[in-house]
Amino acid sequence: MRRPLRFLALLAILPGAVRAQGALSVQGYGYPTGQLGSASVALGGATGELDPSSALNPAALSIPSRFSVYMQIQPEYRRTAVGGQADRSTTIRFPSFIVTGGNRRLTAGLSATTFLDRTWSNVYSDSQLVGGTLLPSVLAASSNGAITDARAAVAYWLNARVQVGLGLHALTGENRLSFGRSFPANTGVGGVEQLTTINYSGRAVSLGVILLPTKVLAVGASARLGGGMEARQDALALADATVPDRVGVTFAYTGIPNTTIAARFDRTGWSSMRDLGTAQMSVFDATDVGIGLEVVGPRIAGAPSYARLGLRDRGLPFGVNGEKVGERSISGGVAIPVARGRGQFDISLQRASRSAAGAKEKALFLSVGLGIRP
Amino acid sequence: MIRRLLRAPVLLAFPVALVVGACTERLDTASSCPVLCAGQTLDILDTILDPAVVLDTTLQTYPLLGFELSLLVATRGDTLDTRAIIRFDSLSRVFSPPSDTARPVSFVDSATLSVRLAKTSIKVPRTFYIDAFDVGDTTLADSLPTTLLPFFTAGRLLGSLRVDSASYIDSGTVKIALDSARVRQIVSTPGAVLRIGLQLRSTETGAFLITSSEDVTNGPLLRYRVSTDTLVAAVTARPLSLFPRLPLNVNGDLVDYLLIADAPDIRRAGRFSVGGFPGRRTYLRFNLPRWLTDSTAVLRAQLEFVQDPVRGLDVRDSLTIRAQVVLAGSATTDLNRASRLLAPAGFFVGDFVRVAPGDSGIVKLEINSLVRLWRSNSGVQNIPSALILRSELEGSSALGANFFGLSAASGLRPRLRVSYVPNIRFGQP
Repeated sequence: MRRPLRFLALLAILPGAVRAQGALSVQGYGYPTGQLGSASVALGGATGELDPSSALNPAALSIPSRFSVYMQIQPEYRRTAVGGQADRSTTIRFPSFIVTGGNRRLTAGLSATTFLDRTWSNVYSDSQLVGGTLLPSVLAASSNGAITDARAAVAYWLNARVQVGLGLHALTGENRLSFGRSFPANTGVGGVEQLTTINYSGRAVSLGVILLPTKVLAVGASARLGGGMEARQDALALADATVPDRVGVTFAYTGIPNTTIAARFDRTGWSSMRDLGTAQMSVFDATDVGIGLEVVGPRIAGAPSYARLGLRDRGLPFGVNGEKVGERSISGGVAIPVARGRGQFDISLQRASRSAAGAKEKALFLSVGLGIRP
Repeated sequence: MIRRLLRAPVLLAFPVALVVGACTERLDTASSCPVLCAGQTLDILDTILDPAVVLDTTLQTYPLLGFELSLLVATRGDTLDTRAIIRFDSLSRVFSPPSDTARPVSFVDSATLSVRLAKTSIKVPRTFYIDAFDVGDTTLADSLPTTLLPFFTAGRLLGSLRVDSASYIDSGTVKIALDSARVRQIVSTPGAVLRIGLQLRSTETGAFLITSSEDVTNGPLLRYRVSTDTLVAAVTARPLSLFPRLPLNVNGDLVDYLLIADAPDIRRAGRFSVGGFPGRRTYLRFNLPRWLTDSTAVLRAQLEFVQDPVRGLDVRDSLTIRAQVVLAGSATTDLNRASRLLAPAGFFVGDFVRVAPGDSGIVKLEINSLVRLWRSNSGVQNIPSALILRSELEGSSALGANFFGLSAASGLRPRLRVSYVPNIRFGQP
């Protein structure tokens, strides 16, 4: 237990989140992290419905390989290019924290995962017409915060081939926004700044199942049914909408020794959030597909290590000028057991490409997950 | 070996921490905005409030009599004639020789009046005389200083000093030798006061400034010897005023003050005035719409005046006019008093205008911070929406300017040009 704590202490002294906007991925209410654990990220999200460290399928909680505590850090290094100009930015996220415990066939878990991360800031110069005079000006805008999916879930092992799960979701969180425009002091024109907070609340329920129809095939499927969702700006009701429904399924083939091949299909009805934004916000339902390959590596400290590779293609929910943003990525990673198998580091790298509205964006995700089984 | 290293999570975390920690902050995304920065527009609207003011009035005399920091002694032909009065209402009438008892003063010698001259922002004659007159008469009404003018006669001359203005650059202290016999007569007469009136005499027109006793260090100083014995220290006296007895505490204000014998009156009907002699201020009261002060962010608020040229003295010289916020609450109905309860210059209004009395045309003064200050709180304004306009050399310069007032036609009267941002709706994408 001491060693993981040392790791956490190291993470704590890292620089704070460094963010920038003017990016394709943080339009609208923000970037959907996918609620995937580091292992699934390395596999292109392919094992998301079978992964207990991904807060998608509540039935996955009863998988024997689950960790009792799982946490994740996921910095994103991003390069956005528009019209021949490019900006680099960095976002550091802590997208998952999961605690589980079980007794015989029943497993329960609590998790907090990032649903939509709306963290960015930008500062840029332009000119404004004030009283008939064109003046230089600086616009500064920033947003900090996210909508978090807090889930309480239970999973039950019906028999050796069927596990089922139920999750209750509370979507909560806030965006702390700052927006201002300033003018040079010698113009005599005053600046303006607005500080505001948008709070979110929503609810949903998820159902999941894991089937093992044969010894070499595992199927995981889940659905989330969205309930009401509300946004309040500075304590005043802003808009109502519905938490997006989601359905996903994973197929995993283990017929090759020490190898797992998996594929996942996921569909999220993001458009149910349309009423939460203004008429200018473009929001699209999104499909997320991924395939992945995992092979068992050398045993370390008596426990197996893993190497992973994945491909993923998905749409992002919020578009630019009415145009949908797509994201394609290739990923890979390793899993390294520690503490004689009582803990495991899942380390993955994901290279993602996005494009829309004449802008291109490339992102590199480093995802480090630590699972602990005391 | 590699396996042993991999067993140590701290060692594994270290390179990861290095990778993560090596990132540097990059906030400037100018190249991506505004293409990818939807919803970050800000509407800036313009409007003109005409008339902008609901009350304008010119008030005088500023500074109040006796509160001048500098006393302008001027002789400008038949247009401007000002003098300085310095009171020594309490003089030492006894002294103590070394190792002896106190005794009345019966001897006065080497009487001098020291004053510090300054020539900042004024035209000083190349050579001029400072004439000092005995203007002491406690039987006269002190509130009517012009009654002192008949005392400026050769028969009451106490002393005179020729000054070459090249002998000092910015300021210099001079000693005017006084008629010791006349001073002895005053000192030896119980109850008598020494009040000195200073007048400029020159073949050229011009003026000079005297540092008043408001400046304790550099104010006027009277000095005289009361004994031929050099061991007896000379008496030094600072200005002091004992009159009038009533109302209380007024006497202290009149230790030295400006006596205006003649000054051009720049006032004209339908105009408000700033500067001149006596010093004038303009009080302007606004009644801005609540939608502007309470529901918008004001970026620019330019108060526009139309200047009406003044003919006469130094019409091409320039004066600086500043605006100051009136802090007096609505309970202060005396505008003259309200015009003295002000925020310090530069607070809320950093802008100023520089005009020549003979100028005409539109003058603009930026008061956006002030308009923001006039926001009401729960429908109540903490301070009235008012400001005063004053000359930076108020009381020490004869320059003044006129502006068309509220009663003038549209286009001439004061107006407020405002650029503002309506409610910002940032946040909801």
